Amino acid sequence: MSDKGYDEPRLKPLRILGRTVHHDDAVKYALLAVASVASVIVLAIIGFILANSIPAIEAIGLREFFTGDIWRPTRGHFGASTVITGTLLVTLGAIVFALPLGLGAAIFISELAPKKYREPLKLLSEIFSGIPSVVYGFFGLVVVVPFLLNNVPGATQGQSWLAGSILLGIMALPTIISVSEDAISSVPRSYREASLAMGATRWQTTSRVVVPAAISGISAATILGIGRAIGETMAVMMVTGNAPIFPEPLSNLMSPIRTITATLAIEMNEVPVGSTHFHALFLLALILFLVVLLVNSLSRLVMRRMKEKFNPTKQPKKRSVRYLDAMAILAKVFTGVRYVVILGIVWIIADLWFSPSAAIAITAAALALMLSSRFLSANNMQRLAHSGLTLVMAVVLALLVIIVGDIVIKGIPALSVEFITDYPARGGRDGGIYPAIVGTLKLVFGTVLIAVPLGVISGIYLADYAKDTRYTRIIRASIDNLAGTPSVVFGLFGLAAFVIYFDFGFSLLAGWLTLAFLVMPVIIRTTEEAVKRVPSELKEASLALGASKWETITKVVLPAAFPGVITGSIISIGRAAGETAPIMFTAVVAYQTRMGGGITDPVMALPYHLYYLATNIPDAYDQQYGTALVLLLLVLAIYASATVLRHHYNKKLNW
Amino acid sequence: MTDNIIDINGLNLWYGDNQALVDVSMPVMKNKITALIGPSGCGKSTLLRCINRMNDIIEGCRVEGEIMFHDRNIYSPETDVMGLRKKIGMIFQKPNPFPMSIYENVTYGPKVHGVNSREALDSIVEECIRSSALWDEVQDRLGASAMSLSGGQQQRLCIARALSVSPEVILMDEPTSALDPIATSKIEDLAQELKRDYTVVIVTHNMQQASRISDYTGFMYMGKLIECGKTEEIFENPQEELTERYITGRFG
Repeated sequence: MSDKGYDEPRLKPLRILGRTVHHDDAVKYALLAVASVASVIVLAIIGFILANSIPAIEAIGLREFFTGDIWRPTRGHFGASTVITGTLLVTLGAIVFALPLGLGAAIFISELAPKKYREPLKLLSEIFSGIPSVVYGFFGLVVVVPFLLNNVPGATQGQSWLAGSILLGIMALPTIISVSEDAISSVPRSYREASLAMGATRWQTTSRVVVPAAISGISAATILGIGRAIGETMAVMMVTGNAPIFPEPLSNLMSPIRTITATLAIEMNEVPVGSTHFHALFLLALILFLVVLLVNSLSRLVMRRMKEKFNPTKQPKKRSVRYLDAMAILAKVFTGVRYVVILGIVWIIADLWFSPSAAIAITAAALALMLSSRFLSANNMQRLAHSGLTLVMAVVLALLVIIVGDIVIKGIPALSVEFITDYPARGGRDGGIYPAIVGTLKLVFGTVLIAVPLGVISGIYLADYAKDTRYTRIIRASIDNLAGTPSVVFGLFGLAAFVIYFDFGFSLLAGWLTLAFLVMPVIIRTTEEAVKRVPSELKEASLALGASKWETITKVVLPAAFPGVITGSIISIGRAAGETAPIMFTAVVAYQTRMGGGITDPVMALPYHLYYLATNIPDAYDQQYGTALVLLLLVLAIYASATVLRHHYNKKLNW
Repeated sequence: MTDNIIDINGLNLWYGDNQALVDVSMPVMKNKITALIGPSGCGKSTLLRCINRMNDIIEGCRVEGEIMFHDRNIYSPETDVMGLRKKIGMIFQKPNPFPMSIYENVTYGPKVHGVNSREALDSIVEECIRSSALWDEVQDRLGASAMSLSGGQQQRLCIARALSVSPEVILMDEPTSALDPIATSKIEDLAQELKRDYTVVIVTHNMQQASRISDYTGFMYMGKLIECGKTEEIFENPQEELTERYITGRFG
């Protein structure tokens, strides 16, 4: 060490391509390169799907594709209007079902529930989002479909628009509840106090001040719920009957229906690669991708507007203001005509369930009830509203108990040691699910190995290095879009890119890559959040001692952010274990009596095994429930451990 | 001639196990301004919020003792809390207009209490905004968002909003602590105007403000009311040593 002046630099600048690059800059560019992977994937998804769609546009023509109403690819008919309409109808029905329940439950949790029950209720409603899509589909097939068949008069089949909408509605509930609840509880307390201090009742405060103030968040929740419903595949495919027709009449909720996602999932595996049919399916996927992109961008715009509303210092930009005024007007119009909408729905359901004359009577009764509520005193109105909200919360919890309870109760008798350790026999009717369990574990293992490093590094880059430049905005937007992309689109991308283009075939490897890109956004976001929560004092203390930025991150920031990073990784494991659509065109087979060991061999997996048993072997009742239970327990256990970890560390590390 | 509009008798309040008010008794004189002063955390805001039962919305809050308003104990089980709050309005520390238009802010209260005719609402809006000395500044933009007003204007709008349901008493919880000196002096002038028609109770930790605007003052310390009386007497000739030490700035 010299007595005066500087020491020799500890970290010598690097010479790269004849230029001097400082150590921290080299690290920064390396991280940036990894973080760009997300953008590359989004571009690749668009590229592969677009490239595969163009031959279909040339062969069929957009006009025939959008207006034709006969979808019979084997005969050369590619009119997709029925399946596009099917997607819209099922989604519409799902929102009509989910919005009142989700919003009611959100209001209950935020405004009515005693404080100590708030967190437990939120956690319970999050269980809905932990249940794998294929388990919903299975529940729909064995419980909801027969229920509708037996209870709707004149129903000739239970697989229907209504069944699809109910299931999608349940699946959209957690999104609607958690986002609306966030919006409602972030309305400043001072608004509530101002209203109560003038002698308004709690319900008047809720309905006239709090909910209107949170309306942008609630709209965002609804739009996100719509996005979720549009992109959903397995559940909807298993219960809607999949007939590519228009309902007749268009309000016939018991008509079978077919969605874009179901069409992809059903036909993709059976279509000759390179045929017009093959390309037509990619064109459908492109439409799906674009619609979901649009819907998700809309929800982000509305969310941003909400943040600006409670931070009046930030003036919203002009263009979005005008456009969002239109949203506000729409919301007002809906508030104005909500009675008409509600009565219309009551009428359609009553007409379906009973008879046209009964429907008129029931609708009239509902109208009378609505009108009479105007004459209630404020206190009685509050009593009525609060009982209604309590009832809604009870219904939501009951749905959860019914779904989980049904699978647990009927699944337990099917469980045994042999069921876990044996190979399946007689096409799945007998034997166990050993290869499916091992296959799922293999899939998850490789997925995590690929996704965690990519995700964590991208998250660190975004949290600590990314300035607000155009390039980082593109990366962020790519991650958001990746997070919103329907899983079936990932499946198609995996098929086109890994199975066919890179020629990995149906293999573990193709499954790993597909699932890794699917779960990466979750890891990126949780890492970024965890790294940002590390107090800057800690970083500054390390930098002030002469550590480089990268040393500070690896030795100070990451250890402190570790619980957050682990939580994100665990959640991604749960997601990877429960997904079906991304692996069904890339990695899985329905039946194996011995397992291949290599990464180019296909595997069995629990979600796909359940789908296969439920749709192909209807009499293998025990096998179905047993598989569903094992899958459900596996996934819920993974999510539960993430939740426990998060709570544990949130308590411990109170910065 | 003045008389008591509110009488607080032996009031005790707990947040969970934590006693925040200890045996507080004091009168509030009609058409006067009563100031509550004391160091942070002494219970003055808590006492204020007892008077229109805003503490009810805090979980784990328990009250004993009585507050008489028009010869009835507001803590008796028969009390219509909504009706009480209509009679005893409140202005908060930070201006808290609703994220609605100026007009809608003022009509919110009347509508909640069943006034629906357009003419009645229009006249309430004009009258209340005039009373809160804001009319000249906003009369031509009543449809604009209340969020577009300055902090001082927002607070005067909140006063107009409180007046809109014709209260008898107005509780002010440090209403100028978030405002600049000019906006503060406007609110102080307004308080003087208001006492002609209303009774005002104001919490402040600004002793100059208390001596400038109030007729009566109560000094609180650690949940107890140490002393109360005419403002001149409290400030010029306090009976308790603690009061004297506080107002001469030796602690607090």
